[in-house]
Amino acid sequence: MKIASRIGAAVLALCMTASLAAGCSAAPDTSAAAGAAHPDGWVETLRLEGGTDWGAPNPFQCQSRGPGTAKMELVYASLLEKDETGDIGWLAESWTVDGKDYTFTLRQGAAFQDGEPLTTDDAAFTIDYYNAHPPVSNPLAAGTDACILESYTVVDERTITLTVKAPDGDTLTSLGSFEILPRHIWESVDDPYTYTGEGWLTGSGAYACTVYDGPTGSYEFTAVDDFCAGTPAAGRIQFVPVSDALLAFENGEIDITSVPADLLDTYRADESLGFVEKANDMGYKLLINFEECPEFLDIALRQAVYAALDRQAVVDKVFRGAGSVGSAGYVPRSSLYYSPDCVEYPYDPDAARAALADKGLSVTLLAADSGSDVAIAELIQIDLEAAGVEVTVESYDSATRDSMVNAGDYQFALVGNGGWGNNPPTYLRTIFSDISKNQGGNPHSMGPIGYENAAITALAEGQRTETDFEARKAMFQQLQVLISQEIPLIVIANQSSYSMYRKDYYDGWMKTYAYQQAEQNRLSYMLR
Amino acid sequence: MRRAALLLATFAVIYLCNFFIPRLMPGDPLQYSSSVSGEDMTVPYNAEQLDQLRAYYGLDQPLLTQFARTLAANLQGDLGQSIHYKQPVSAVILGRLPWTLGLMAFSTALSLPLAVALALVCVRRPRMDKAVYGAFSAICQLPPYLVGLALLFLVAARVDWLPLSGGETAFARYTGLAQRLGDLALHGLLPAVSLCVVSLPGYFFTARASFLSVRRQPYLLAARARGLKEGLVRRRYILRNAATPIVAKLFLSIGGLMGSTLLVENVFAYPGVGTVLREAVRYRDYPLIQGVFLFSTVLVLAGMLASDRLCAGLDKGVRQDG
Amino acid sequence: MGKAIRKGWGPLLLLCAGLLILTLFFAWGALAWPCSPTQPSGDSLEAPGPAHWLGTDDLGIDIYAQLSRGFFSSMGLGLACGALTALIGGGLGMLAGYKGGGVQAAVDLAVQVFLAVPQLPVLIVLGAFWGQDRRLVIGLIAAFSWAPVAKQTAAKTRSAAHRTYVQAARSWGANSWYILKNHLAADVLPVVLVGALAVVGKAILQESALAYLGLSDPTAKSWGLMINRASRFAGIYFTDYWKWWLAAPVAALMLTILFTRLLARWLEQRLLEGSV
Repeated sequence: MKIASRIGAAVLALCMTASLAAGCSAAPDTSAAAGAAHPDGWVETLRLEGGTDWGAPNPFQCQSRGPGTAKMELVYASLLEKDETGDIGWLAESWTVDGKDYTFTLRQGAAFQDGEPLTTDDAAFTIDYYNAHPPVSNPLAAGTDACILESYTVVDERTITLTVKAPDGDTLTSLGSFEILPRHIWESVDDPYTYTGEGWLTGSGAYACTVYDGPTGSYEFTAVDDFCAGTPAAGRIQFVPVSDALLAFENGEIDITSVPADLLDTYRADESLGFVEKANDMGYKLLINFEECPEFLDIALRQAVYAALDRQAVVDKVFRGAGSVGSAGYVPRSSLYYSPDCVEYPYDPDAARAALADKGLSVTLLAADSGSDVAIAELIQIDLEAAGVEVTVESYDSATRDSMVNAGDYQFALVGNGGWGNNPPTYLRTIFSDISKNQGGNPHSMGPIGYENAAITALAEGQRTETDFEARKAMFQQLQVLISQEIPLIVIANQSSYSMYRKDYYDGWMKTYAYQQAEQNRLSYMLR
Repeated sequence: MRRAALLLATFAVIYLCNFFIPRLMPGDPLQYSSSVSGEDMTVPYNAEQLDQLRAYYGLDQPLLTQFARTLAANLQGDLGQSIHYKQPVSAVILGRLPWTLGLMAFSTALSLPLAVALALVCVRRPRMDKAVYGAFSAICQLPPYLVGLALLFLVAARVDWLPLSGGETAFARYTGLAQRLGDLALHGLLPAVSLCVVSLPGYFFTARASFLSVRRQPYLLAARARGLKEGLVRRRYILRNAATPIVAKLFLSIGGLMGSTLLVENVFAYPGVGTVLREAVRYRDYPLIQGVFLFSTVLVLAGMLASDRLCAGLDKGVRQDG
Repeated sequence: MGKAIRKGWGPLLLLCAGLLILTLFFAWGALAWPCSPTQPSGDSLEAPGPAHWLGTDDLGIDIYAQLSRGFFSSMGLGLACGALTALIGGGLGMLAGYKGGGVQAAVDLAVQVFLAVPQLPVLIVLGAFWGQDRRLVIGLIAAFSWAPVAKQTAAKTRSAAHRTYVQAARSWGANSWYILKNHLAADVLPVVLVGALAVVGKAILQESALAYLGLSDPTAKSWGLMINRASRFAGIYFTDYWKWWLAAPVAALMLTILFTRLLARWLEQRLLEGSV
């Protein structure tokens, strides 16, 4: 017993001290703001749901998903930023475009969080450094052959000219989106992917990271005084680990949270709450591998599949009414780019049975194993079997499903992913162009296999070089109509999600023209 | 010696499986592209970037080369770089380890003394023994996650002062060590109680059997005959002599306890190794999967070895006593 | 002795009756109940009532029907795992115990490996890859259950094989199969049986734990999956939904486990220890 209790005590003591040490990366006291007068709309602390480790908020170690890059973007700043309608200046106060040359002028007083001034020298260094060590979020495609930059010229301390290989409609946005690194810190760092030394989280953004605790998934960001491009709207932003986000919201532990569709109406009745609608952002599509199922190269069959599916049932039953039947042109109905001229395929089980029943078709349907995916796959199975197609649902965990879809190892595959509400230029080409589809690991690039369409490809690639917004939008609408007629893939439905917040506490949440996740947009945390 | 060789061979087999199985499975750590709304991949990689990343993590090499490299690195104490967390595996695990070990220790600190005390009482009171024994045989297979869920819904969601999840109050400013420990204990209470409910019967059965066998020993009779007080007899003779099997059981149950802890952590969103393993599997983070396994295997084997040594010591001790 | 046995049968009858009632209850739900376990038959999240005894889930699927389907799928899985465990564990254990030498060393190593592997982490990893195939789940769970059975069987076989009558039979030239069948089976089989029965309950639990983590066949309406989906339903703390959606599968799981566990326990006492 003695040995046991001694060992037990030792273990206990060890654990206690260790866990103390783990949690003790406490923040420096940053109550400097206290006492000073604050403009309207300013709040002391904004608290959001945390609990997941999205990586250290720096350009090399954050995770490649929204919540990871968003945290990094609070700490680091780029030349441009996006608002509701277009690109605006961020670290750059102005810019000019002359053919392949894009010239940016930095703001007066741009500085890093350690007080060092931020100059074009840092921007130039960043480009070189990214070429040697590509960052996680890499809008320049630095370090690869696809790098959009040809060269740069430092004109003076505040002016830099970036020369691109071939300008297109997205070039300005891409050039404006890379985060600028402090040269004085990174020039001596050989492997930024493992570097955790002095200044590893020093950026030039509106907020400095004051706490990052991976294991508990808590982050704290503290507003930077004298940020050159605006005024932070909160003294602190905290990502707090919570168990049930809704419960935490009710208790006032967090200030914004997502609402399940079932409870939306209850909360809507509360006047003091504001809502952010992320319209149709999650989308489900049915991919057909035409190499495995050549029968479906017959367009009548694909039309029949559309007719067989009761897609409204997916919206009602699986999405609990929050969403819409997908447009056959792929771009969701709520998008700025949506074309109302797309062909509609109403639910018509009789027509579907007439076209499909005598073909003796049988397919396996690949799906992921999460709740909604399986439910939708089951609904598809029910509908297709009613139309006379035998369907076997096979479901795997997401990573397996992904690699099977990427490898073309399926007949039918149900793929669901977020981001349909983003800017269509970021995804339409990589799904439908025969040149660009199925390259690299992103659901937005999973296109139909064994299907080619020269007209679609021409439009999808051609829109890139069009720099006039209206003309480009027209091309996208034309492309959607073409997609809805040719049906390279079946669009099932789009799901909307909602966030709610207390209007009387903080009302600054915004969506950019390209991204609907208010919690992840920089401008949501700025006074405007 | 034979035993040590067996343990070593076991370790080798597990190490091999641990390296190859995840890598031979479908899925790709760099191409995990599934997403839900709000957690999309905001940055697509092009094919060339994927190749660069693959080279950086050494995933472009043939499996055997990868194995040789991993082995060499592991032998030098380097567990590699986590692909998902973009940190050294050892840092990721060490960051979470205190939570998991702390929870295990906390629950053992609750269940072991309770089980021993109960057993001590029960061996002398047959009627109570029957009741406790029956109850424990009924609950000894309850899965910890169910107990955890039940506690969550029936207790935590009804009372204000018990946190629903997490390991500590986020961003709390503590006034002293006591307050901080109190906060940790409060957060750990429900997970620890769920683990305790599950491990209590095991300890109880061992302790009871051990006490029963000690009670039959002749030296007790001798001690009592010498007129020693009952309390002294119990403390000095019964507890001391019955302790070894109980401690051995403690070491042996490390494996099971760890499995339960990983599950319970998932129920209470407790920031331990369990959540990391779940993520590592989801994102096919090979080095991290391996690291977690290496650590848990070592822990289990060490527990087995310790329990072996104890039992060997016990036999010797009995012989000397006798 | 006779009285003791008669007295001892009471719990068995009680347990069997309990299991029978459970089985009948769920058989009714699987065979005679009008609602489908896969198709919506009502509004979503209806409270228990005459049309849906245990209410409906978020998709409007009847919970009683799902539970019933789940019972047979869980029981089937448990029994299959038990049988497989008995086969592997019993077979290898007897072989090792009887043959000794190299065979025994090999089996010892295998037993040791499977005892030392941290079970749940391995199941989590392998479940992610193979979880959707029910047969593989059965194989996996059995793979992690046979070792203790083999260990006990081997020990029992070894001690039985050293008895004089077995030694005598052997010296008279009886072949191994004959000895195993006629002399050892009676001693060894109870060990295997009890071990296998204990596995049944454990397997049901492990499958539910995997399903709870989302690592099992998502199209099978297993109890763990129901628990998983209900407990992850956002805002369930605010609603009464958990009273039927979550509580029903939890209660069903606990009851089933309880009965199989007590049954195994009873058999263990009766067959191995002689009396309580």
